[in-house]
Amino acid sequence: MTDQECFYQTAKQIDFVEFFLCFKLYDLCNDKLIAGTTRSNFIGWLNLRIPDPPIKLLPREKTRFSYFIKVIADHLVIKQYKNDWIDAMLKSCDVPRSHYEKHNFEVTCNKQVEKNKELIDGLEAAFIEAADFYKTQLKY
Amino acid sequence: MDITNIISLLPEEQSSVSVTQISCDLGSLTALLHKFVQVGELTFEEDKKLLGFFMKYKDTNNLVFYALKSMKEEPSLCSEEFNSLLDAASGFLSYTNEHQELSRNLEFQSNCKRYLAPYEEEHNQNMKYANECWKAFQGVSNKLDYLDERADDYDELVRDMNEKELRYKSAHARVDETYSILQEKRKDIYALYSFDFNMLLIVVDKLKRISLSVINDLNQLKKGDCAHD
Repeated sequence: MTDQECFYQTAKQIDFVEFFLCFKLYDLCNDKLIAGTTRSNFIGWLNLRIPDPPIKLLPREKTRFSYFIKVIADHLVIKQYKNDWIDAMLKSCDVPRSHYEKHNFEVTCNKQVEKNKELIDGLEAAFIEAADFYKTQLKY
Repeated sequence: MDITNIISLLPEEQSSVSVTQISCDLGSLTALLHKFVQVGELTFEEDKKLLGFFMKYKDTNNLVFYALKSMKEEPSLCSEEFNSLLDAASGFLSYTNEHQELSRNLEFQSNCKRYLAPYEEEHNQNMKYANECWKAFQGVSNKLDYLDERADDYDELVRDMNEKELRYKSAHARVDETYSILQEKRKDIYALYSFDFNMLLIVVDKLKRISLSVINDLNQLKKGDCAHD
């Protein structure tokens, strides 16, 4: 048995997406991109732990989900796993890789669609909030 | 995806992780929760301790990397440390489960507002004074606009206007200063203002899950059976 096989459960506890960002992304995605779930289930799912109950993509959200995955993948904490993370997230919601490759940019080309604009603005706001949150230091 | 290859990413130099310290800090946090349940509020400094714990331990990857290394090199010490952490985390979580009012009532914005209040009050007072100085200056300036230069009180009014202008400029500078201080204080406490008790719960839950995983992996290692699930 290799070390890898022995320490599997512990290795699975690694986080790929920064915590505060996960926390903010939940409000953006819950009941909008994915069917309602708990915050900890969502955060576990983003970090490739098996969600219970499983995360379900809402109808007609595959393209927006592809964009979401593309943006988050560019901000992973462990960048070496970017492609593996994308594959695992797409697989978890039954989105083929071919769909992701063809459509992950479409949201930015159709900003006039309200839901697309909400997603783009929401993601930007989440990143800014996360950056501001960690910038502030309690000086006293 | 083969997550187990993550072990190959173990950094050579790891930031120091003290599992014992985490358990100890969790114990202090639980004591703070006891206080909140009894008294109904925490002080600003105590709120900062809760946030401080979150900031220090929210990135658990270092802890996971430490565990992966320690399980190989010192399995019995590792087992002891993580059993202790599991107890501390479970204690914290079961206390919060028994006292649901913690999730409902423990908030941080009120103490932040109280902290900012004296700075806001000082700034508002300075703005009010600067306004009064401006009105006084404007009053004399407007009078002079319609006064003949040859009038008897012209020169006196000019002197008065200049004094009032200086007073206004000084008051205005003080407003700018207190505004900068107020903005700095707002930035300083932004993290506490945005903080949510549920964030802390999720982090402690993560610490518990990591401890459980380490203990399970060590047990499997002892049994000599290391199967994936």
